Amino acid sequence: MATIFREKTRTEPAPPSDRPDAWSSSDKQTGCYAWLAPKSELTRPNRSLENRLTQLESPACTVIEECSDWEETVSFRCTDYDAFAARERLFSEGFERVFSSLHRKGFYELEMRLRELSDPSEDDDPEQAPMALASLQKCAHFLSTLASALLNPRIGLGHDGVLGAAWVFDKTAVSVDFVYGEPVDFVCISRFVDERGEREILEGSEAPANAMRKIERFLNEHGQ
Amino acid sequence: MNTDSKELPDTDNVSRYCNYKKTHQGGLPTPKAFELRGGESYLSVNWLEYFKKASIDENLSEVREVLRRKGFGIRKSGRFMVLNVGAIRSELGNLVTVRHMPECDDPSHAAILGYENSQQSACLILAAMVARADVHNAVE
Repeated sequence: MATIFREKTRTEPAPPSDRPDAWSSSDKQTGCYAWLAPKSELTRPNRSLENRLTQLESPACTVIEECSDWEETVSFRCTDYDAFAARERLFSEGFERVFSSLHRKGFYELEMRLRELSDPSEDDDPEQAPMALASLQKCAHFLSTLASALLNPRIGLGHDGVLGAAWVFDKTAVSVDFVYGEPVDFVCISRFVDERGEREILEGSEAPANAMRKIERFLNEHGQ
Repeated sequence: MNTDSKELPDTDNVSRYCNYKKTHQGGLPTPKAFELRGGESYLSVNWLEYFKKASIDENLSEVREVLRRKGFGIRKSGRFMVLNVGAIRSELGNLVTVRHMPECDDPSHAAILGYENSQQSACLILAAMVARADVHNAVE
């Protein structure tokens, strides 16, 4: 591209005899030559034309710059796309690592449910965000280690891509949301109101192990 | 919010469509089924008695039609949760109301309002309220 205006495909005609110092401009595509007054004679309004002509004469002409910009844009877009693809690949590998880990530990049902929830093909809600990898990792870890004694969790995916698990027992119910960041949001409720019409509720946002300790204490106090 | 909306009687029922990502095996809801989206101040439901049919199943058939007309993608794997208005009030407290808020393409549209500040516990209570008999197939 740098030599586009320097390659002459045919002989340039001579300048008009009365203006031997006239400055020429050519268009490679049309093969047209324009004979202009010397650049020094260009008046102020023609300064931009002068600048343009200088640019065209210069090896680093605007066209090249424009091309470079365009190429850069494309290359940026490509890079962006590659980054996106790489990110997607990393994410999908991350998902797969979590599922494989659950499989190795024998949590087949949990693995199946989480796989099902991560599959966007059955989505009927256009506003449903895809499952967040951070939420999946936290959920899988919590359910396969800290809360492995609490059976049959109801696992759902929120509109925002955050996973939640809930257990509904006869006397109590518990839910844990695997939000971004270190803590988990949890709530424990007694299912029935007391004689004053009130219900025991414990909620908080804690590191997973602390949250689990509080949940266990609540379940021990109020029964399942 | 439609200020002309009227509160629904305790004896009536509302339904909420939930896709398989919000329900558990067999269709029981997870708390995520009742979670509000960002910026939402109420949960959209359908007032079943609006259709004045003899049974909940017949009223649900009408709801299916309305949702289809609205362009809602109802899947076989989804479920309708039926909730009694009086039970919602007694379980969630008096701050929560269930109102008829008709929309031009959905005259049975109603809303559960007043729980956005205690969402996680309210969603868990609503999920715990639903028994297997309250779960209906999304597609007949």
